Amino acid sequence: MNRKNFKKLISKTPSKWKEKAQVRVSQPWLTEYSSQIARRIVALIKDDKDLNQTRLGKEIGVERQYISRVIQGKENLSLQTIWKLSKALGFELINFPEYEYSKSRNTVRSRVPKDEVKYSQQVKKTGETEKKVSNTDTTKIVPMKLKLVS
Amino acid sequence: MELVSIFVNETPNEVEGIFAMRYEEGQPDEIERLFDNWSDPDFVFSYFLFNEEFLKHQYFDDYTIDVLCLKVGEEVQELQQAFLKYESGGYSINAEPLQSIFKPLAPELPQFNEEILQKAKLLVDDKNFPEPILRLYGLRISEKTFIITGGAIKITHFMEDHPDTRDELEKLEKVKQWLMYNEVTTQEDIKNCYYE
Repeated sequence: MNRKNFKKLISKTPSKWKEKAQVRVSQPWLTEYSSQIARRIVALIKDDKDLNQTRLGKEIGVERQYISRVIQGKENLSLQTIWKLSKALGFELINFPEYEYSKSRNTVRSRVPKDEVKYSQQVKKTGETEKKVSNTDTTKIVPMKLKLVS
Repeated sequence: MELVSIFVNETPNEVEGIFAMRYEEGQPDEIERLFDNWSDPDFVFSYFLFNEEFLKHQYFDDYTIDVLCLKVGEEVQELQQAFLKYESGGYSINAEPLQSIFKPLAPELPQFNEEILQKAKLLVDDKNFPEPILRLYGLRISEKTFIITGGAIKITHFMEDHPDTRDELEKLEKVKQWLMYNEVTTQEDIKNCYYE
């Protein structure tokens, strides 16, 4: 390799990969949560020919650019925004596990050890991945009607 | 076209490390572009939706698009972590030298023997994720110098079977010609490789 010629081809403008990767890697839970919500919004928009980013933005009172950042997983959404989006889409973007509290047993059922709380469904390399359970359209999401009071 | 340093160990006699191609001025280099795209849920979801027909005929027929998106999300996090580790630690700290994590592309593999064919068959038969889905492609121009020319979400067994990976083969060739035109190296010293 001719190092002198090689060096002539190297740009003086640095790459921005490191700064961006550091942000994404430092908060994997945020990346994953945002991504989970974003994918559902993208699927719902694609599933509804009358819906687009601009219209969704209007419904929740934000610019299209904000919706664009949301579906790129770049926004740390507040609970209020998640609620507004859920209402506009007719789809619960986050669900809560059921629990049962018994005073006599002094325990909350459904509780799991802290280290078992995962922010995502893990895709294991051993091949123990979730498989499709039916032959239905893989992108189809059936909107759930919400009973939300504004 | 120009080279962008990703992580480089420069001494008076050596320029070692990973570089990425920037094909157009003002645009991101290939590592920045790929990490951005693969971390973008909209991009990844739309990619699988657009390629649904390819998915039906390859390994991934049994998986939902959502599961494939999760797989990409996991892999891009791992890739970024690996790159950050190398960037901060350099070659001496990391157990695996760079030259061992980049693998030669198929045409430069030794002759297929029965054992390799058997392994290949197992991969095709295995409906679970048989291999990483994200690939970085590049050229090795000296023992410890690599140039990333691009990358792809690899959903077909052979690179020739999908337009995106076919484009990646063309990019490898284009950069190879560019390096030779600029008298950096000769055809014999360049090796195609990939990282997964």
